[in-house]
Amino acid sequence: MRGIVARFLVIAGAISLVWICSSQAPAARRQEPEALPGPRAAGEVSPLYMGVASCSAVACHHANGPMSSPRSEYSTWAGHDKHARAYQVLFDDRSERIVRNLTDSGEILRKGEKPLPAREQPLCLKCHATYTGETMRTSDRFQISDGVGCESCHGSAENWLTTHYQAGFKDLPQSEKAKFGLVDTKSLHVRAKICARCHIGDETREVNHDLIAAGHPRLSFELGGYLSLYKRHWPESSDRARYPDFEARAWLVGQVAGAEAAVELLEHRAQCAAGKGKISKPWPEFSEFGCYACHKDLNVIPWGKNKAEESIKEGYVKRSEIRRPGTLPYGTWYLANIRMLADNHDAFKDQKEALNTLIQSMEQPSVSPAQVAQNASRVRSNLAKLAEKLQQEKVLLKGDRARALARLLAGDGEKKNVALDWDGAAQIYLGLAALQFDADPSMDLKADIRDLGRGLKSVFPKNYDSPRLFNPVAEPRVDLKLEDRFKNILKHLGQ
Amino acid sequence: MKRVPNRWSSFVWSALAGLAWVLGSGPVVFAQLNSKEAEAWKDCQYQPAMLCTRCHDKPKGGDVSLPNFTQQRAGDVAVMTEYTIWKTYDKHAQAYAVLKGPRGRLMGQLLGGKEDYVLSKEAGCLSCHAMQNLAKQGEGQNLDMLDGVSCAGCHGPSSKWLDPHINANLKWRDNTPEDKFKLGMRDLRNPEVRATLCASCHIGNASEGKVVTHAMMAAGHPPLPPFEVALFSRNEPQHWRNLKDIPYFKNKASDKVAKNYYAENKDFQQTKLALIGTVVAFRETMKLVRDRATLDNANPADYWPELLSPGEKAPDKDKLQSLASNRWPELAMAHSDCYACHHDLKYPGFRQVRGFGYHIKGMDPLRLIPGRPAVREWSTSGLPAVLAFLNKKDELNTLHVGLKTLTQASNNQPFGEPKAMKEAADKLIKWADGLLVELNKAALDEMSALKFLQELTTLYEEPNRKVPLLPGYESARITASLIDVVYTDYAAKAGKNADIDKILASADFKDRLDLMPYRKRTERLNVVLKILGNPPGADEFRTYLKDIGNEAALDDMARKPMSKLFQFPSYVTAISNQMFNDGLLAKENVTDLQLYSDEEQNLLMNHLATYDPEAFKRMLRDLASKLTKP
Repeated sequence: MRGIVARFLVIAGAISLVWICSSQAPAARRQEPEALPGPRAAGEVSPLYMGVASCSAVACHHANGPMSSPRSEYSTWAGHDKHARAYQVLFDDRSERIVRNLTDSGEILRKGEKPLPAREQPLCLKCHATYTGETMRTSDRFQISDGVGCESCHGSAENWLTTHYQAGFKDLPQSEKAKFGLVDTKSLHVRAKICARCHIGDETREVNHDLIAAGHPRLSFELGGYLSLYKRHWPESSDRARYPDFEARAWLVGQVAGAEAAVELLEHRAQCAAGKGKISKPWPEFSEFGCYACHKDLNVIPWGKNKAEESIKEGYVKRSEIRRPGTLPYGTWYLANIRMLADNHDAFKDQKEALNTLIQSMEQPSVSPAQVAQNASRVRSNLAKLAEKLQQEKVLLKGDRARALARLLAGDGEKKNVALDWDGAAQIYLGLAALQFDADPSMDLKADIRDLGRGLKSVFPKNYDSPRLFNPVAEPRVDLKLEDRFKNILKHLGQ
Repeated sequence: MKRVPNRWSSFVWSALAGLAWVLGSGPVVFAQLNSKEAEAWKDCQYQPAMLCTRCHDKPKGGDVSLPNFTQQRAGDVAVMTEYTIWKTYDKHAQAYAVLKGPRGRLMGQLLGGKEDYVLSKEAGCLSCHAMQNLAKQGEGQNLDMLDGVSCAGCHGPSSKWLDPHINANLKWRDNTPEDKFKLGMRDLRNPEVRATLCASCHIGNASEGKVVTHAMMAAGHPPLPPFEVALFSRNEPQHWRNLKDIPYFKNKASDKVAKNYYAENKDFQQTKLALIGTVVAFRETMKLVRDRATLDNANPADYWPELLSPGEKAPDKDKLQSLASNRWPELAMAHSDCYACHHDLKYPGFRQVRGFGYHIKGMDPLRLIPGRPAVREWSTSGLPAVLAFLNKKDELNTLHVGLKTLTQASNNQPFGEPKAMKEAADKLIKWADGLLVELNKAALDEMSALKFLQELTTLYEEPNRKVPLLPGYESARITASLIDVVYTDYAAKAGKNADIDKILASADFKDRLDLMPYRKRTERLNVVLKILGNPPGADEFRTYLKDIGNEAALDDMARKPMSKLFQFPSYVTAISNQMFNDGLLAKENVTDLQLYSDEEQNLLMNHLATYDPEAFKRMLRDLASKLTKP
């Protein structure tokens, strides 16, 4: 399954594993350093970042063993993990073009007339290196050029560097370790939120529409797929020991945590736009909406095959639920499956009301930031509770339970059919690809899911970042046979 | 899931015409002209097209002794087949019927929950598709909506001039445009008047309730193409001769009459129209921005049709004004550049290479933050060439200041701050008005036309520029239109250049830039002929229409005693509006018509998607090199 997801992710183009700039206000405008996980009394000086060099002793994390083997964490990261080269991409043509295009934006720092290069822009460094802003404190071994290093995820190490290998530390409960500033990357919810800081964005860093238009790839994070692609610097068996249903669990927790992070970012953006934030931000923020609703070459869809009318005819939506023409669809990526689960899954049903309120407030001709901030806040806290609950859930997502979830996904795809957009179809695919592993599937099922992934890949022509050939109702330029595929998958999943 | 995709087509590429303000040569202040027209015409009545068939049906040539020219009368100025051409060839005549076609019904369903919503007043469609805003000009109007956009929409209310223009024993043409205006006739031979009138639908005019909103386009209305008045006129097709082909102006006309018809400079009529039209298109675009950004305007229901809810009584003025303020992003989409957002994400795309904002020759780049919608760029594209023609390149500075305010307003918030947008647009409108005063006075000759052509072909060449100038598709289309129009005038005087002719006739130039958008005209005409009962003479009429200014050819046809050319119009005038509309909407016809439009629109969209600015620039360089050769 990893192979399928990997291939798919590479294709999708949109889901680029590219390291990210954050579209954060320049450090000059920002007062407080970023809050890393772990307790810290107010007013306390933040701990030093010690640098990758402090982890890479041969006796510690640089044993130079095979990838993912214990004590070769640094070796794996340096040799295989693209995070180690995140800083280097700031020197390439694309980065130069992005900064040039953003020159007149308030997000970009300048020296006289000229913008600073990407490698000196806080906007970029926030995600392309271990960097939290001007107030960040570093040891003399720290080098920004190490890219996204150990402490980006595990926390600044000043307080635990010399403690964490001592006898007894390993056995401390997470809550105790956290007091030293060591982040609990073992928890799937925490892990997802760490990735999300850059791969979705947070209060201090984001890839907004300005940045994307300047040339930065769109972000579309999905924990399960990303983890399966990731060059782990820990044994896969340790994940599986903790969660015997790891693939399915990572997908499900990732869905919720991803949605939580996305809605949290929306809440922040809306607050800023409503004048409650320290800084102003663009509003409406286009990156919150489905990219391909606007970003597609226009063409004439035969008038007998209108997508909305088809969906009404099929009984999939009521006329009253059709968005007003010209408004933008919200939550096409992070909320696609959550919306479906809220309608169909017991654990999610408490989400429904708040979620629908939020979506409705975003899909209006006038998107009121104050209202959105309020609605997003409710959804965010609901999702955070749910993610925590799901990652602690004792009942495993294996066998029947995984199959039932997979059936929900495939059934949703079959029902939506022509009303599916690419984001929604891809999210269903990613879910199926993750769940099949624990659903103990037949070979036929695997082949169907693989073909679905290949089909979704094939609609991105060479040199395109949008699914130009994906069009379920126009004359089929690429016939994805979505309905048939979902039917087959359902058949192979059994009742 | 609730997904409403964008879909586009054009049954009627766009509809048009209707009321506009205007008039008069010389300096004009447009905000006042609208009321001037309303005031001057308040006792006039609009009349249906059928009234014009009394005379404007059959061709009349120069030789009045020929047997077929039974009513020679005004045939030495007008072609006298205006009604016949309009009814059979011109999509304006189908502008109302199209609302009841498949696309219109779908739009009604999506916008208002029922298929005939587009026929209701509050939907805002009728102002362009059936001239319904005209009725406001006075009481007791006599328009037939089934006419679509007919004679009255452009020429004005005829109740006071119908008789004199027939019965004054040809003295009618001695009247000045001002005299005719007082009686209700619009001076369409004045380039500025004509361009402004056409633009009122083809670009939009909020004060006349003519706006294609973003919701309308999302529901299926085709995006309005960039507007170049001279080429649009030619493609309509023309139901009038070019001045230089008009028999009366070839010999008999006195200077005074020639002046009344703007015939003093008749060899460069189209060039002058193109020059003036370029500035008018820019001004009307800015006017749309200004009017729609005037959040405290007095007639909000006209200005912002998207704020009205289907089936509900229109909210009061205050409520609409506050809605407009909340829904500014949606309102602003209507005047924004469609293809800045609506394009597939090609990487690396020319937009990221070029950068965002206004990039105009001779002007420092005005950089927009990437990802921010901007006012349609195409309306600025011909301006540097017009300024160069006028020897007023320093005016670029004024343009720069105005566009800078627009850019800054958009950098401060997506879609711009309405107040700043309004102020910037207002300044640019005044600047354009000043420019038009100069242009109206300008006399043209071979040299100045050549100069304009040279400026047009080098519009995107600036050797020392850091980032190359790369025009978008719509700018390229405008540039190509202007070149085509001006070269036609120039070549008629200076002689043709085979190399240039070849480029202008090439598929890359003419087809890919959509200079002749009605590719399905023949098929569409066949449907009309079918409705008319396939009358005799259609082929002859087609031959005649190919060269409407060719007097000798017409005389030849007239010499043939039984020429079917002269029978054809009788069939066209015989059909009632109801029968004609029913015919257009008969199931087999309406399906075909929709498919033709879809096909035309799809071709255009494909050209847009595969457009390459570098290739277009190479073509311009090629043209420029040929132009310099004698």
